[in-house]
Amino acid sequence: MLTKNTFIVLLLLASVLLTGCWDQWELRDLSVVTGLAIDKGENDEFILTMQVINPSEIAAQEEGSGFTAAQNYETRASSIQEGFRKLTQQAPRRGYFSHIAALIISEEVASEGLSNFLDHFYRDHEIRSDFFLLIARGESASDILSLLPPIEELTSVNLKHSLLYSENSYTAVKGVTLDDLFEDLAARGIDPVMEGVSTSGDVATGKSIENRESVKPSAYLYVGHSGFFKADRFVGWLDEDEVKGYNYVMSENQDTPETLSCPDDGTFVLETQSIEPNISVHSGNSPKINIDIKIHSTLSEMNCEGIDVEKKESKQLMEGIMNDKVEALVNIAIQKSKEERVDIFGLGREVYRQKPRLWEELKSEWYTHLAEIPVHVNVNTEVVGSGDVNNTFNVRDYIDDD
Amino acid sequence: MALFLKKKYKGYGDQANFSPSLEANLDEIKQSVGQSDDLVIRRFRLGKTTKLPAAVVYIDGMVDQSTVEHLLSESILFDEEFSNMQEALHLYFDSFGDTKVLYDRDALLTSLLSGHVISFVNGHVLAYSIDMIFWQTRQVDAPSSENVIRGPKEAFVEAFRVNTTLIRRRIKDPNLRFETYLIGTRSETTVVVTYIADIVNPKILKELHERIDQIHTDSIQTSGELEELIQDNAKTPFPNVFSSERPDTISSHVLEGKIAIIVDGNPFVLAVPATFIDFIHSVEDYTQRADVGSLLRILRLVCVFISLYVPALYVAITTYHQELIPFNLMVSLAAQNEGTPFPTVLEVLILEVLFEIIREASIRMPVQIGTALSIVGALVVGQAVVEAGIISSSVVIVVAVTAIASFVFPIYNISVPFRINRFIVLVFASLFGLYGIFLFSMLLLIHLSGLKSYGLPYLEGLTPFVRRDQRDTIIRMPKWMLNTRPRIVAKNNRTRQQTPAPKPEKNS
Repeated sequence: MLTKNTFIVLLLLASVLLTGCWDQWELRDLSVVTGLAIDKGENDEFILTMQVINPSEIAAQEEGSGFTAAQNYETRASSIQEGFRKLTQQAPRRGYFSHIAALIISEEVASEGLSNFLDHFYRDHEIRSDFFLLIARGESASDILSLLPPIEELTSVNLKHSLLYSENSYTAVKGVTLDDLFEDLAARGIDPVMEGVSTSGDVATGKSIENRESVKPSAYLYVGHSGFFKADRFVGWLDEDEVKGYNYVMSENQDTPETLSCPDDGTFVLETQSIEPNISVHSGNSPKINIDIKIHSTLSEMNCEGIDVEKKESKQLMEGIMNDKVEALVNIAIQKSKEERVDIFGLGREVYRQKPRLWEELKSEWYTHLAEIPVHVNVNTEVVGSGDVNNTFNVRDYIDDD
Repeated sequence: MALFLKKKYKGYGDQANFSPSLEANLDEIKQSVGQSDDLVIRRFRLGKTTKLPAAVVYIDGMVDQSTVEHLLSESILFDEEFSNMQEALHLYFDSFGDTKVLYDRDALLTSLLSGHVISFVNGHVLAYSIDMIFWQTRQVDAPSSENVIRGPKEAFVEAFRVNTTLIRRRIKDPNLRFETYLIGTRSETTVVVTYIADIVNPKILKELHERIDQIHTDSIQTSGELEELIQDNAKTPFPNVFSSERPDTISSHVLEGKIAIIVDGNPFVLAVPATFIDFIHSVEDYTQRADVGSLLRILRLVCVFISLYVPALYVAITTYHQELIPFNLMVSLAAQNEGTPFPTVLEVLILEVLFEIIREASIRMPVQIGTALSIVGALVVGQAVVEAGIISSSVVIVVAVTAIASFVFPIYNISVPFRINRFIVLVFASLFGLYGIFLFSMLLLIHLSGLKSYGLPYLEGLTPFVRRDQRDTIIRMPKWMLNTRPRIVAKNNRTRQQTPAPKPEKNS
């Protein structure tokens, strides 16, 4: 006969122990998926390409058999989860999706809307939301995932690192993770922008291990050209200048080079150290938006003649050139945004944040208003250093002396 | 002196229980010990002219042979002009060793068997026990299980008298007390309770007295046996009586107000009350600089967690929470895991048990075969098992790290509960993942918080948190800041020192 106390203890035990983790899987039973590509199939089906790693080929200590580091499996299903689970029909292990490094979406799928399939990625407990999303530019997503990159052995990890490092050192690239994307999708008055990926070279050879045998790889992946969206639908591509202009406002790139023309002939380069964009909304009879960008930079390349770096005037000159250049770039991007009626800068969101009353008035016809609201860009550059030297070593000075 | 002796031994003659006949007494002793081979009887005559027949009886090997020879050879110098036979005999025997008069058979046998020389004189109804105890003891040597780099290199030995001396030499305080008990109806083991009278908490002392008085056993052979008879909690793997073979460690405990217990025949001395943190402290903490000592203590506490949790964490994370492993690490773990036949938890268990076997074997093994063991252990277990693809190399690393961490503890006792709990938490981890580990940790904490040692919470200092005691708990502050003794232990006399902080004089 159970006494009351033992009954309580049993209940406690059961409730404590039954809440434990029940999803035990040995590492050797898992197909670790690092890359995913989503293409459009027939009859509203997705074609899912999953890149499954082959651990013993990648690990440093293990002697591989010379096989590729990963295999791509392809499944067709009308939902993402079903496609994931179909993997076991081809691979002998359970698919494991926590370590996805990159998700590549074909243009076709993206233009039909991301909401069709992204929900599972956000809903499922196993999938982390910190992987990068990319759009396959001009190719099928599956082809891109099948390319064998020369240094990094996995296409998906290659893309992830490429994004991570160039994001911090070049304005033309800004990686978008699932988290970033959802932030933009959930907010009103901002449309997402997503990095594109394309291949260059001989893609057929690029898919075989030969690609890694020559000094100059036959094919390689190329990250750049952001695609812009209207809500969750892919609309088109930004060109390089537009991307730069976009990123001067939207990303906090730490050191990106900006090549500038000298007053006479030649170029010089300023490397930014910090970019502080600030968008301010002014209401009134005619609302307007100011974008102020504060840039700290150092001189990192100087091929101009007749500029004495040590002089204050030349510093002001360089700052002026930089201001004009960045202003021009940002204006190009804003122009594009107005033409296409997409709010990639999140100007609507800024209006909502700073002047909620104004937003109430404008929100129903926001995209029309967006095209009309004047946006004024003001860049304030400060050159704070000139690298390791002052004036450059100039060969002609010596020739004249002789 | 004579007066004193008279007073002391007055009236013994009437109660004497022995026969006036020398031979009858000797026969009786022989009968009592069953004609034992090591019983030595030496007859002699007392006095130059009286030539009183007398004899000494002793157990061979327990007395100082040369003193016995002295006693026999100097028997002719015995002063025959005495007025009182008992007084004269006492005086004579006293010059060879501390002499007591015996008046019954039980006391006689106890004295004889503890190594005293028993003397009978014909026609005299008293027996005398002369303390000439001398037997082979081990030299005071370097500690075998609690080594330090900088610090005293002495360890306790088996003989309790040497051990009391080692403590007395460190604490020359008249308040230092040694209370002697004889425990065990057959073994008659000497147990010495040591404390400083004006520091010790009287309640704890009373508690210990009561517990010792309750002991009713035939023998005590080791201090471990005594520990089990006087400890608070039997249902715990955690030791709640401190033990050490280092006189400096025990002295410092006594100086904090704790009570040390020396058991004759054992080089490990006990101390009560004991808290968990005592087992993590080492003399090295005090012989090194305070900052270094503190870092070493923190390192040791980290090792507590390593030795307890690392195998469990490995199993939990690699089988339940793969998303927590950085990608590159997971790839190499997965590659090692490729092709091994057993589940991870079984791999860890196999290797842990194997390691426990090696550890146990290496303690018992004759020194000469030690190298063979290390070859077999290191090569077979470490290398071959991995090369044969039975166990993945990461598991070997995990078990090795755990094993090394478990050797860090200054007191060997404390590594044992962690060894046991390591297996329990491993089972929890393999069944419930990280959740199981946290569940286990909670149960462990509840258990530890419930333990007490002589009224002192086992986690004293940490929980209940005693702010003042923090100066010498997890970290160690410099000596000039350690002004007080622990809270409960030295309740009535907490001030330890008042040295001001050292600093150069202003004008110099």
